[in-house]
Amino acid sequence: MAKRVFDTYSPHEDEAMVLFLNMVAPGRVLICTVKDEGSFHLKDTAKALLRSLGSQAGPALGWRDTWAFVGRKGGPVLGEKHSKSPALSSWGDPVLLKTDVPLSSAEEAECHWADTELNRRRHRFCSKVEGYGSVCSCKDPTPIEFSPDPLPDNKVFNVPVAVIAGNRPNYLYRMLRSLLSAQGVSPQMITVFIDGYYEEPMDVVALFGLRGIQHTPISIKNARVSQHYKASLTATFNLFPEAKFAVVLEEDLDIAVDFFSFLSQSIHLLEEDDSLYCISAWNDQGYEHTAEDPALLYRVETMPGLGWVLRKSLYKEELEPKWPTPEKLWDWDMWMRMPEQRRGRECIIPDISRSYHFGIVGLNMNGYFHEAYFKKHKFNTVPGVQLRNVDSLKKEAYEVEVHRLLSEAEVLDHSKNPCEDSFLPDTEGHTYVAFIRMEKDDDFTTWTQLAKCLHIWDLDVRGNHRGLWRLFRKRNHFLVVGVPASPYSMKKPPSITPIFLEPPPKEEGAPGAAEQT
Amino acid sequence: MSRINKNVILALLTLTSSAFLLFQLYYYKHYLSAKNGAGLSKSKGSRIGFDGTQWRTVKKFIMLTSSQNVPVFLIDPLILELINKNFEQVKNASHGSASECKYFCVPRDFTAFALQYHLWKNEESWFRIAENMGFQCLKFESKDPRLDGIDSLSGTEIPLHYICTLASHAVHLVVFHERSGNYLWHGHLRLKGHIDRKFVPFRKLQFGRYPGAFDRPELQQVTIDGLEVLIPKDPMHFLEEIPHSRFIECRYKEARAFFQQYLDDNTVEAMAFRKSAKELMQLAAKTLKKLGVRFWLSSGTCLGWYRQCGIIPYSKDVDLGIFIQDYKSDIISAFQDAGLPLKHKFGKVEDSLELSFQGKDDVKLDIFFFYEETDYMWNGGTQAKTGKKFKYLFPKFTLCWTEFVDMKVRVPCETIEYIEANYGVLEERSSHSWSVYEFVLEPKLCNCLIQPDPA
Repeated sequence: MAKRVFDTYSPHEDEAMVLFLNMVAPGRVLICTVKDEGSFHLKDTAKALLRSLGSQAGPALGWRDTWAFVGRKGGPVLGEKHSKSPALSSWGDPVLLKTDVPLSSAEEAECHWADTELNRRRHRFCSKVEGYGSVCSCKDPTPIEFSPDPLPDNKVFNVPVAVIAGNRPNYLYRMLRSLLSAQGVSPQMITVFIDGYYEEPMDVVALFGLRGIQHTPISIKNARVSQHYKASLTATFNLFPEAKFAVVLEEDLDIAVDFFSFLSQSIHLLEEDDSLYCISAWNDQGYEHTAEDPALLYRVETMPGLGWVLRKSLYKEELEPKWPTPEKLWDWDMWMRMPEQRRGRECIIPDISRSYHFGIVGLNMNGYFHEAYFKKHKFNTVPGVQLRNVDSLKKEAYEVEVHRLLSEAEVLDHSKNPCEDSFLPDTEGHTYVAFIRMEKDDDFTTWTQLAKCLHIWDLDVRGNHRGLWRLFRKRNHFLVVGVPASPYSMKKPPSITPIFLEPPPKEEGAPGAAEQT
Repeated sequence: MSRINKNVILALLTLTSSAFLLFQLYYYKHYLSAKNGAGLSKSKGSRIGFDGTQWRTVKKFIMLTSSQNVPVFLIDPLILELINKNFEQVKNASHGSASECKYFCVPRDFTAFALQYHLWKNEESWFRIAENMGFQCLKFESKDPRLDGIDSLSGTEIPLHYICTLASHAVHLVVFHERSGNYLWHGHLRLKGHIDRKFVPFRKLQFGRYPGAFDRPELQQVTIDGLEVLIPKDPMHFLEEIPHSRFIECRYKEARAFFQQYLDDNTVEAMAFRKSAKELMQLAAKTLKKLGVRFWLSSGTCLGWYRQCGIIPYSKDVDLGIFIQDYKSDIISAFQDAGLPLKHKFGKVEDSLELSFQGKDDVKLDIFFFYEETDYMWNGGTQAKTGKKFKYLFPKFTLCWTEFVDMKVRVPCETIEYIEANYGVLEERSSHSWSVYEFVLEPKLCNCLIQPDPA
């Protein structure tokens, strides 16, 4: 029904365990055991929960103790064995627990929901899977069908949506709930592609009545992921041969309620402007303190991914024929960002992201990385946002807009430290510009330092458009121009010296700078 | 004398009045038929009216589908032929003017309808509602062939056919799926073990003996025998496609195995060639379609389809085959107009014709014309350097549709025999240091199947 591993030696895992156990339906048989060491970060809340299950050894678990427990959620303990470790450097003796579990009849165990198609799906799901909380509760089960408001003049109603998934079914469950609640979603256009023959993700897909396809995994690590993307994208265009675009999502994203509205208003740009590579819902630099305007769009020279639209012609004519082969251990998104693939084209992004990356566990993720770079990302929750001046995102029109902004922008005092909050006056709604040193097209030394001290994305360079970055600080629009590499350098007053931030001398183990492999 | 006269007059009178009576009867019958529309003469025997089981079953089926928003259209060949003959009348007929059942009452075993799957919203509940209405339905499903590409994907099965009976008449609903190459595909109706072979006379089915491919038809709504149905706007075109609709899948599993043994060529040159070859094929297909000339993949192009479901990068050109009886004199000018000038012309229409057109980026389009003999086919080859003429013999073949580089094209249904005639026997595995496949690409100029032309 469910199998979970919680590394309670490491922090925060016990919280996840408490969350999971709280979601298990009453009456289920629980079997717990310890592998290696499970007590180091087993905190009070978790211990209290184990106590409430009737465990005696669980709340008293010590360093490298061994423990086995069989009980019922909400019911009696059926068996427990525990062995203390004699010394810090050794483990407790192995324990062997044998116990008899009285079974209950199917009628007692199952809920009696009304006989509808939806509840039949619910039944199939709940009799197989556990840990999804109130979806399976007998009284008042969470709805599994959503009726978001229809989107008038929906230009993306027939664009296929590919959800790229692995084996994180609880993430997939959360993601699909938000996707199916978005205004203008077309459930019959959604296909979930699962990388491997895993049952639980397929069960989640079937619960929502969506189409699920499993892919025989090829290769290893990031190459496996990239082969999965390729198979999924090819299959998407095979299943929807009339589609000119595809929306690409992952299982660890929350989808904004106006995600499709955002796409519906901007998709014509991808159709009409050849200089565009993609439309993405993600602003790499859009943190809670650096993003303000839900109606604002930017052009950037990067491909953020994390909820984006792929043009079919780009895929079929350029990317698919030369997609990395299975033995190349490359990240598909890094490959797509390379100049040979991107060829100078740009993506459209919103100032406030329309997706939120909540995944903590994954191939390239861990708790620290998430905390540093993803947790405080700004996410739009306002429905029906009308995007402003969408056609000004076309190639030439955007230059006009940038020039207008730069002409209006107030030049800041470059003698101050740009990292300090006082660099900008205490105003709201103004537009400011600062000039930083950027010797050549690929000189990002100062920008990287600035990004680091502003606590935005600094692992590589994102968000630039011809040497210009746009963000918000203290609710003012803040423009950064790289001089002399940016063509906008000519806007710099002659009296201003571009700011130069020296990188600190290289240290061992710099915190927060986790490598994204 | 007068008696004879009286008898004669009596006889004459009787004769004329009988003649007049017969004439009246005949004319009245004619007058009635003309009033109600012609076309009845074909259906001798069962003049079943609107109370016949066939009409009633069809009516109930149409009610079922329209109430459930299942957008079906009529593809039954028998009925479409009748409609085609009386097309003007059918188009102009108004609702409710039918006084005789002329189409749906034609004696037949099935009434065939079709459905485009992507237009169907509510598949889950349909089956149950059909059964509630009294239909007994069988559903035929299988794996989705569109997932069967180079990678191994599997999803839930897709419906291919429904056969629903009511009161001893059966409706056959063919489920069409749209595929890359802008065509509709339907699957093979396979009788699995547990199915009752006597449920319906399966042998009499008009669709489903093998998978089929059709152009996407535009539909129009007409009223026939008092029932509103959707039919193809051009029933003649649809009817002409039916006997030539057979479809065969590319051999994806074998292609995958091939690529596991022989790594695919991913150099820039290979990819550039593939792109140019694909564009050339699309252009050639468009041009030939406009001319109404059938063609199929031949030689290296056919081998690429058969062996790896793709274009062989070192094959250097695109090879197509055309039956000489389909030759049209404006082929050369049509290609010229499309941007493909004639590069070589070998032979003549009467003997060994072969045309070669110059495409972009040094890729050639070779068209081989095939001549038919009593029990074999042949095409002529001219060795450019020596001028020697050769005759390649092929066993007779039929043409099937298939999907190749996002296009719907034809290949010989009996593909392996065709390729072996072209290249010699293919081995599935290479036991030598060189790849048998590479060696085999050069067509053998001397083997028992080829005879130098005596002329």
